[in-house]
Amino acid sequence: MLRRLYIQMLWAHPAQFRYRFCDEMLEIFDRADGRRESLRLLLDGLISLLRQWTIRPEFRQPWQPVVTSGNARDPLLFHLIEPYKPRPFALMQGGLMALLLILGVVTAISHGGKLRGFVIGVHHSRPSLLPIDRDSVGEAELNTTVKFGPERKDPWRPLALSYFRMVRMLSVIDTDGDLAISHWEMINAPAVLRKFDVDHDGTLSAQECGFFPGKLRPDVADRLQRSFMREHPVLAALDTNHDNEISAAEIANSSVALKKLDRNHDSSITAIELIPDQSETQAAMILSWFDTDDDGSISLEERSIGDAFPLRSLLDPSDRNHDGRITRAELTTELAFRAEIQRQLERARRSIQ
Amino acid sequence: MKPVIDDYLPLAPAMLHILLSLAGEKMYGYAIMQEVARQSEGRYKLGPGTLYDNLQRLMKQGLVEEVASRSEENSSRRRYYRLSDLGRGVLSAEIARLEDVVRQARPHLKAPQPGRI
Repeated sequence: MLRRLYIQMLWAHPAQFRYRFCDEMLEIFDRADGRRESLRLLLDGLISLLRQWTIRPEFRQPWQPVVTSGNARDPLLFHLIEPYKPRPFALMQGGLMALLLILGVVTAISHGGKLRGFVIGVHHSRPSLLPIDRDSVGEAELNTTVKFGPERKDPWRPLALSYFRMVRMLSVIDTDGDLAISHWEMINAPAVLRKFDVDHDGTLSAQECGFFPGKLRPDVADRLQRSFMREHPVLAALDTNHDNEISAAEIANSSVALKKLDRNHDSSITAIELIPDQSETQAAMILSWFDTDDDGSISLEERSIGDAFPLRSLLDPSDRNHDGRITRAELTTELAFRAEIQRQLERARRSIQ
Repeated sequence: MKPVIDDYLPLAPAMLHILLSLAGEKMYGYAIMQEVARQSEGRYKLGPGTLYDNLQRLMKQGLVEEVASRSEENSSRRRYYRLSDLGRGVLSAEIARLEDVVRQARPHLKAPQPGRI
């Protein structure tokens, strides 16, 4: 077995080396003492094979047969075997035949339906296996109906739909109407917002954003207008300087401003991120009433005016960092905290009853 | 153009051993392998692949030449090799070089004196 392997390995050597040395190498292999020695010689032969084909290109010239005095009794003489090379014409003929065969197979496969059953890829089933009533097929009406499963209900959808209708700006920015502002819709926001500028003054007033004052007193209308611009997160985010109108610069910067609303960073602003909760709405309302200088916070002076006095028990604890100014975030936190306390008290009261 | 002996030096270990084994008389492959093992006291064993690869290169360089088979030898497979004049000169030069190396190395291999680094 090992000898046969060794002979195969010798055959794999370059012709010139093989004819010159492989008879002697085989003789040495035959003299090997034991299996271990044979394996060592086999490994040596493999290394030699690699060496001859990789780093000995200079010894691979065409071999010229040499007349030697061979002994007829020798079973295997590498130097007596003529090197075989197929004739160029035979190679061309073989290549042409192979090409024709491939073309034939490809043609048979591509025209399988039009040829008889013996062609590759065609199978004619017997009529008894699949009976078809042709007459009934011809006269039958196409009355197949496809039923879809029940549409998944999103509990937020009705609320989101009504909110997007209320804040008209949102429904315009949401061009595909999926009740969410996608990354591309955020990028496209400046162009959409400019369409709201009815009076072409370059800025969007509260009225242009959807606030309708009606026949209210001017001071009340002014406070409600401020509340409107602050309670809706999308308007509050766009009106970065809190002057209750969206300037040309703020319109141009609207893509960046809207991205701040994407709290979960999924490149899309959903209804959950757009609809204000009760605490935020209340905070915006309170801020719009008492933030008379429109700096986005309620100062000590603004807290001391007569109207604010009844709310001092709410406003004073809201100033959590004790800097004398109550921001919208501080107010929202305080209101949410109180609402939670109220909920827990209500739950406790119910459990007692 | 006459080849310069120094161009062949230093010799690879396998080449040196093959040239050394052929220094006495002409030999065939298996005999060279045995002679190399004898000279190195069994510490250096040439495989046939390594042997014939080196013989091929030595013949191309003209250091070894093939000679006709002995008439009394029965096996037609055997080819005999011997050192050429150039090969003998290269072997002599290599041995001289090694002697010089040994002479240079001996003083350095003496045991260091105590207290010296």
